[in-house]
Amino acid sequence: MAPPTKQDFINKLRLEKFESEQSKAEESLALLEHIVANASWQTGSELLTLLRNVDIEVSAKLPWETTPRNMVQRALKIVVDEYSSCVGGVSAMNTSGHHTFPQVTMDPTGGVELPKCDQALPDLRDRVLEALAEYRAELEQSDELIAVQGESKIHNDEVILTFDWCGLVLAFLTRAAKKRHFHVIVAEGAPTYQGHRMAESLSRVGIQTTLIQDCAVFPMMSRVNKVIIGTRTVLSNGGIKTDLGAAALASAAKFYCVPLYVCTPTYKFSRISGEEVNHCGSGSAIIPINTPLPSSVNVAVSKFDYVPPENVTSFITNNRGIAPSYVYRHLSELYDPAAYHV
Amino acid sequence: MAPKVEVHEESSILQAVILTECDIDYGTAITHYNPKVLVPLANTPLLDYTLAWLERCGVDEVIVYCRTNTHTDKIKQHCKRFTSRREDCGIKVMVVVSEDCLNLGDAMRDLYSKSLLKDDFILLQGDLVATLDLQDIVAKHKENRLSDKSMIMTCVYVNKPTETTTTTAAMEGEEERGKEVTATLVTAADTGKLLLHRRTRSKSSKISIPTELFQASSDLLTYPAAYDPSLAICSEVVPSLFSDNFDYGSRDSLLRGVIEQEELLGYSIRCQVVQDGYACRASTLQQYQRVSGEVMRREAYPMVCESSLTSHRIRYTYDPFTTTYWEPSAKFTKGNGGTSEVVVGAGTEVDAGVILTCKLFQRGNGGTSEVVVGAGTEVDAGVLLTASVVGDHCTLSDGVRANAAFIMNNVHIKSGCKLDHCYIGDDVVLEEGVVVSSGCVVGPGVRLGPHVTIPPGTQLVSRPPSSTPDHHDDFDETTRVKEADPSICGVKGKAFILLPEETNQDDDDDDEESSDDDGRSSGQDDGDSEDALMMMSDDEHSENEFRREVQESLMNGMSKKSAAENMVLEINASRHAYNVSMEDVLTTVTQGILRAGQKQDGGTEPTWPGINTALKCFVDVLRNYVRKGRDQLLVLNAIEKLMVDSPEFLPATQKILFNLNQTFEILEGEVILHWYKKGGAGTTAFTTIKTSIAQFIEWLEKDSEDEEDSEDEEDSDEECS
Repeated sequence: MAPPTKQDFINKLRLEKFESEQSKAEESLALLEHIVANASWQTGSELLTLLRNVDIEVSAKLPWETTPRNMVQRALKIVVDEYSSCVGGVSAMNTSGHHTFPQVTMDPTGGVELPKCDQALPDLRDRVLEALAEYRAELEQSDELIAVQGESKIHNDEVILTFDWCGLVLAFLTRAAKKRHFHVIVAEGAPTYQGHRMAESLSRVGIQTTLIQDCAVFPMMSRVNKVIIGTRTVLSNGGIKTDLGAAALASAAKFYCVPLYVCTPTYKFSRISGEEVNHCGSGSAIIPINTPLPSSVNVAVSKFDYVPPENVTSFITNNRGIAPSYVYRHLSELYDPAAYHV
Repeated sequence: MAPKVEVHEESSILQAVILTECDIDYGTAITHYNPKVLVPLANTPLLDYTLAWLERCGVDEVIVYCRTNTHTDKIKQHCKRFTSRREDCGIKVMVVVSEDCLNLGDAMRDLYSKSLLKDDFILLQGDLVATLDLQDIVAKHKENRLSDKSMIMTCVYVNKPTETTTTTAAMEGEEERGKEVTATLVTAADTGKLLLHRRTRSKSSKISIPTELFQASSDLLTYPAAYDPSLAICSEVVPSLFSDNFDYGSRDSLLRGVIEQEELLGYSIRCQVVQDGYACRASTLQQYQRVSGEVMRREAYPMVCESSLTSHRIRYTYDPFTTTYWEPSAKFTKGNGGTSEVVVGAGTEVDAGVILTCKLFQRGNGGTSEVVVGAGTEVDAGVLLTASVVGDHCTLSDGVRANAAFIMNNVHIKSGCKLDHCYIGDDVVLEEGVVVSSGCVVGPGVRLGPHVTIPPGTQLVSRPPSSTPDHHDDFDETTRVKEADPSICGVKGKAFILLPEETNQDDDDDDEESSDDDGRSSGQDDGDSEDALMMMSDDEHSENEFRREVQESLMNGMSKKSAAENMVLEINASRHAYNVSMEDVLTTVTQGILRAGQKQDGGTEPTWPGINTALKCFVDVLRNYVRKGRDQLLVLNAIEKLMVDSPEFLPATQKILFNLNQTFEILEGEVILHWYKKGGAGTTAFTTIKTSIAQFIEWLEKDSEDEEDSEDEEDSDEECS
């Protein structure tokens, strides 16, 4: 296999050739590992700049793709940690000071520079690679770790509402179905209608499934016990950015006081906040073929929906359950504060 | 193993040929300064849309084909920049320049002689904006080609709903447009084989379909007006076909040639009518306007205005509610919808349509919709833009109203200007109160104003039209208008009216038309019918020549005992040289064989043994030409005609027919009977033939008593003329 290059990776992202966020995460990690292993760098700072270039490029071209950027920031954190633990043996604790007490400056305008790691440490490369390999292992089993929580979260004879296609939610429900009997309602997820695929997969594993329209979630909600959905991104304020239709679903759940759980691996936790980026699609996605619309009709299609943190009950992650209000805390554990501004 | 892998890789390269010298131009005022394919559409050169699309579809190699002229270097540089900006070599762009390429046919011939095309390739024009799934189309093409070797090309059409636009109604040449871009297609429903291809010309709702099409296939699929994006997947046969037939100029002529001479060439063309995806050519300025609007409305998604096609960076901010795009560095002086109302309320001549637009789109800066604004541009409050594109570093002062105006870079438009459906080139300055009417093209560097009105459809250039050798008409113009005329361009202005070069453009059209129609419809004017007469006499002459040549080669072949395929090759060569129809070939060959038998015998009197040896010798040649019942009738008619010219063959007729029927099995008994009953070809010789072959017919009738004799009635009903 050819070594992964930044350009190939971005092209692949741009052409939407990835099947899931998981594969995006894995491939971007492979790219980062390749950079660490093969690029020519001497000091930690040089490496950090190299890694950050990936982030900058993705954000300039595809600002709505958060997963690869999260991976870069995670890698930056790993490098800084390894560097400081290398140096830590020699010098005082001051370098590691900033991550034990994270100074979370919520200043998106930046001005924060990458931490200074000027010393050339011969064994830094190996140590970083080792840490990245560890992280890869964590990444690869994150789905499994979430899925096993299925049984404990779902009880017999419950009615679960889910939305659109999400491999993780499917695995979660499938696992739960081994021990429990429950009923799943799937909202179809227009205009891609991936919910149809979800319903098919669910019924194939023997779960009683009902498919409904997206706009029909409100009348259904009164009989639902739990809403379990996936997401594309977890924002820094604890809200989520996900496929269109989720916001209405979450509001309905809030109205009926139905708990809404979001299954997400930790790599989806992102530093971006609010609805910073909305990516707009094309009208042809929602207008059926051969329906002539006069050009004076303005068709606006957005691709993502924003669910505010108050509508999310809890995140089911590979680590533990996290409440939306604690996302910021989790972020400071995952990423280096200096990487905030990119 | 290694070489095998290499071979595989080579065969999987997907090539595309982009023709930059498109058949229709935007007019000299634009293309004198910039080649058509580099004219920006929503601030991105047209060629970039094509290249980006091809790259997205996984095309490996692109050949950008252009003619040597002043723009060649520009295109080369542009392609170089395009590939270098994206660092990787996902797509290889090669610019091929030729000295004398006038049309698509020339380009194909040139590429064939340079042998740059290795396998199936995509042929398209440089002004195409499309998002079709090429990989799918190419895959289908390859699949069809595997199952049917004779299929050489897949033409791609788009089934578009016709849009009912009121905005474009103002543009002239509506019917012109329809004719250029749509085609009437008739295809076989099961295979998708193209049976009829015609440019839509009339506005009538009737389509005439030749009846013989119904014989070949029971199910026909008709597309009365399929949009033609001039896109085709061609096999490597296509360039060679072009180079064999020097008269093929455009793709249409190839289509016509292949469909009409299907039996001879043995090739067929399929077409795919694609339902989803976007494809439209910005072929004329009217189309340019339309495509521009559609790109802004994001119909060509994922090629959208806000992301740059070269670097893929997000360059514009997009507002989905007003369909407005602007570069972050563009300055909009604060204003609101109220300002625009003041402008309207001030009572300047505004028609009802504009007021409506203002009220509908009173959002943001002075009310805009479907607008792209480039970097560093300053737009004052109270500017009203609709369906317009503004390039980089322009200034638009207060009170400017522009509807469907395409403003390039560094343009300064002062207050009170009104622009409608026009194209404003680079570095243009419009002083106060200039009105540019619809259909105008203002070339780069022009100054206009203050307070002038440019009549509709005017083309303006900044320098007196130059005396380049290919524009003789312009030269005359130059001598007349040396100084800028203040009555046209205003006191501060500097502009020259460029008269449309009617001669060039119209010549092309006429050629196209007459070649399209010849032989089928009656000539439309005197010139055409004269041409037709000329053709007739030419035809007769060439037919005689052809007959002589075939006779010669048959004689030669007989004495040398040449193989049948060599004979066929020789005859086909003569056929191509004199452009003779298939029927004539068969007639000539049949008669030639019989005559060869007569001459071989030495004597003037034809004897059966001589004819028999000739028949034996050429039976394979004859068989090659006789493929269906209709051909057999032609053979019979040919024999009958031979009797008219030389009755000395009469005694041998019965034996000839008997042997063709029984020994060589070229003529079927039923066909002979049918022919006999219908009275042959109806020549004078038939009565004598009738008596001489009566015995044979009687025998045949007895032979086929149990068979139904009406079987092939329908087949040869009209053939037996």
